[in-house]
Amino acid sequence: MSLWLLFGLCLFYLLFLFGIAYYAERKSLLGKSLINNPLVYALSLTTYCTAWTFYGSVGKAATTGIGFLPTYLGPVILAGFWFILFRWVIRICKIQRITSIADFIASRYGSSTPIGVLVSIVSILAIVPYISLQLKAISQSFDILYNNFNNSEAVIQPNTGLVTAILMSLFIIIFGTRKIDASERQEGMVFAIAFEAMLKLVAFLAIGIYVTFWVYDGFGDIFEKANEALILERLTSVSDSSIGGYWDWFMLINLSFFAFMLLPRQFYLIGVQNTDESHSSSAAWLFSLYLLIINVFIIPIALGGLIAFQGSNVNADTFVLMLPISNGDYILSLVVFFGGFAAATGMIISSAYAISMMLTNNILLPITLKFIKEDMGYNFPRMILLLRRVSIVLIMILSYIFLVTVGRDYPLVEIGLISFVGIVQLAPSFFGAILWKRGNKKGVITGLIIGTLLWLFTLVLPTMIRANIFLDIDILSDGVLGLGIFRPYALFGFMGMNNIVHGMFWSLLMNSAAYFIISVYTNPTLEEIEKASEFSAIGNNLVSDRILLNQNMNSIPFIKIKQLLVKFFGLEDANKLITQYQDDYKIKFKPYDKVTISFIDYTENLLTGVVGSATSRILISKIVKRKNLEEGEIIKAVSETRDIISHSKELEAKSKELEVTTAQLQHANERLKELDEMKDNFIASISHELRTPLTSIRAFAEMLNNKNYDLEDQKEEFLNIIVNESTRLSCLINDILYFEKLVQKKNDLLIVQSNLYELTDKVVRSLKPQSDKVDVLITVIKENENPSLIFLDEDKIKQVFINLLNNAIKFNDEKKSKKYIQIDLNEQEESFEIKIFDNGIGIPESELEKIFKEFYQIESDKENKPYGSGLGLAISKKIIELHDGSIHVKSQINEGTEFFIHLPKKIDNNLA
Amino acid sequence: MKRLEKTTVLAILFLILVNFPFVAVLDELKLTNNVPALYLFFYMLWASLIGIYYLIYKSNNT
Repeated sequence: MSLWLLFGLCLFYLLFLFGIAYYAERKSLLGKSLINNPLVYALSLTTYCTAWTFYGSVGKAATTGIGFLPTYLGPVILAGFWFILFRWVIRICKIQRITSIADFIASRYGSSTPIGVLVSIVSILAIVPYISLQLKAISQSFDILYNNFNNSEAVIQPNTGLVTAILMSLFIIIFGTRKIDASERQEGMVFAIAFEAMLKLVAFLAIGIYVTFWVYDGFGDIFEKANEALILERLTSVSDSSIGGYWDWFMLINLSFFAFMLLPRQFYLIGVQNTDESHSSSAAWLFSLYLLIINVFIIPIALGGLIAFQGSNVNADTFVLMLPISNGDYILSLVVFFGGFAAATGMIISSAYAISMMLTNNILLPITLKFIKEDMGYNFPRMILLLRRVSIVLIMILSYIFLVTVGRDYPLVEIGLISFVGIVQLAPSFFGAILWKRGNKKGVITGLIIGTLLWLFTLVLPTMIRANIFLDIDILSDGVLGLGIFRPYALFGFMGMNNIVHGMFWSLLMNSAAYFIISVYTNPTLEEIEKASEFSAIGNNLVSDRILLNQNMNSIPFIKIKQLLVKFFGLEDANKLITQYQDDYKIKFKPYDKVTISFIDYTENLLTGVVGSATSRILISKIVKRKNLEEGEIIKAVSETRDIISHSKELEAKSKELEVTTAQLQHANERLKELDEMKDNFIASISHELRTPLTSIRAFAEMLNNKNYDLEDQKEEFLNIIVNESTRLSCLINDILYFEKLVQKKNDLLIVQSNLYELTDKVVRSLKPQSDKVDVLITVIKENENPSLIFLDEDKIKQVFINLLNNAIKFNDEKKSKKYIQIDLNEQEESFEIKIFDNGIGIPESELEKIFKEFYQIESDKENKPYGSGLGLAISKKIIELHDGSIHVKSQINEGTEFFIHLPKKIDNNLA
Repeated sequence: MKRLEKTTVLAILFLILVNFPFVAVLDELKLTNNVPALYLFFYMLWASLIGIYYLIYKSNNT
């Protein structure tokens, strides 16, 4: 394969990546976000797995065995905290429009410029070598592939690194610096990173499966062969994996635990590019699963490499690539190469972008703004974008310089871990920003300076010495100025730890101690107190209150703030943003109106999204002169803050109580409304039912009383009607009273043990005269002759039977020659099932649901059939329910009706 | 997720979490197909953590 073909393939891959990013951007412009998806979010976080994972972990596993694991166990353990921690960070980033970890820390400590600068410098120092490590991985793998394909020994490394650096710069400039507001989503960039995450996973799985199941005969075979080659034992011991054994393990797990969150690219993808905070929950398990899948094959590949290249001088970092090449599987080696290429470029894109943002906002912009006067008429948006592009190029140039000077002589893992230790210097200030309100700016600055110096001394300096950059190598063995206690790898004489762990231990310990002690013994500024309160409130989803009431802010005319916004957003966007604020706060500013403090905050917040919190504060402070507060005022403010927080907590508790009470009241209110409606319906029904017979009685009685009529012939008929209607009225009133009694006195049952069959027979006998009168035959079918006894109120159950049978008799079908009613009595284990069916006129289907309602009578039947109270079935249902039973009906017009009653043998004691 | 499913998953996860003695026994009996028990133990712990995170995610979303 020619050099140009290989180079062309790389170029094609990068163009493909550009295409993917472009596609995502286009989709976003059309209103469909491809990154608003938990899987894409989780995949974007796997930029943690860089070329270091792809190549270096196998190298580490080949030399230290299980020693590669802590780098991955840290984030997996941390994932358990994501559910809370990520949400806090995401919320704060969104509300404060934070764009980088430097912004986050600087913002929390009073939008401090020195902190912004310091965090940016630490990040650049730590991450530039890390980026160069990725360039190295690409260059190295390119060389290996080319030389093995062509049996040559060419060294193309620096050129490959340079070309990659240039192309990557181009990619980030195109897709990362299109929008002025850096807090906005970079859809193309994030989607391309997610794509690369999938590619590196597929490539690593391919080589893992290839080595395990193709070259060897499964996991067991590899381990057996490794055992025979006597290389297995030293690779399966925690204590042999590092000088410090378990202590080193513990510290390395902590290192990766902190680094995962604090690496600028990780912070950027976690907090700034998140589209939905609930994605952090799914990312926790998806990300851990991704790491597990990749990790399963690291040891087999390392062992495979050790067995295959035993005795030769093949670098363990290149096993992933060399294994397929040595077996002549060139296609697979190409796939693996592009997997590693994806792992490296994904990291380069995200890291270079994240730290170039820091470099722009915290270092270049504040310096530039110092030299710009207001009347110089600069196009600020263009200037900011230009500075961002310059920063990206600067970062890539620095990384390339590191590659050609130092990076070539170091293994991948070592450079990565040194970078990690640099980044964890941010841990005290970062976690203090979220968890400890008392932490202040002076503490952060002191801690960061001490920690960074110790990191440089214990890890970076020895690297430089070993790369023959400067100083004498004697410092490593004799210490600074010949003082043994100042040896970089044995500070204060402490030895017995891995160099990385040693450096981390001292730098982080001193950093944390300085941060804690200085913060405890010095006072924060009012702005810090305010920001601490805001961060806490946002994290807890509360609304924070302003405490800077005594600042001299009320003399700022609206026009000045508007001019500032126009400078950075252009007239059109500035007007939109102002209108948005005015609509939200129901306020309208005229040009020379004095603005409110919240409007100044709003402006500062908007500017933070563009230039970062520290520069935003500088810009605002050019217009708003903040009053320096005396110590007494600070204490007063602190006390006010505490009061506010305390009130806020009380209010929150009261609010929760009120919510519960309101819910209860709402429920009670609903019930009352229901009862009120029932009462109204009941009164309306009663009035109607009572009025009908009363009207008849009155009408016929008046007619009989009227001497003008000769009603001698009809007298008897009229009197009969009056008597019948009176009887009906009396029955109705009895039924109403009876029903009300059932509703009101739910426990008013006279429960006795009874034989249901005998009770049924009694009822049937009592109704025989009525059934005979209309030729209806009633039969009772009993399952057995000796049923169990049942607990029930005999009178009430009789009432149910009478109601149902009366209805069946009343509504018989006269057209049928053979009219019957059948009662089936079935005994179950715990209950009796009773079925009463007839071949009467039936009930229309539409009426079936209503027949158990009070006063309900089927319209069509009223004309021809005897009147009832309309309460019979309602009473029956109530009685059955009081017995813990149920009643249902099935009917078909002209066919008949079936009632099903389920009656338990025992009923609840409370009711009995 | 239903209570029964949740309990079953939790029970399995618990068994995985306390699997060290079982893995050691399997190792002693040479039933791990030559794979070192230490690796098995770490990966099983890892898998159980994923299971726990999945459960938390599920309960957060319902």
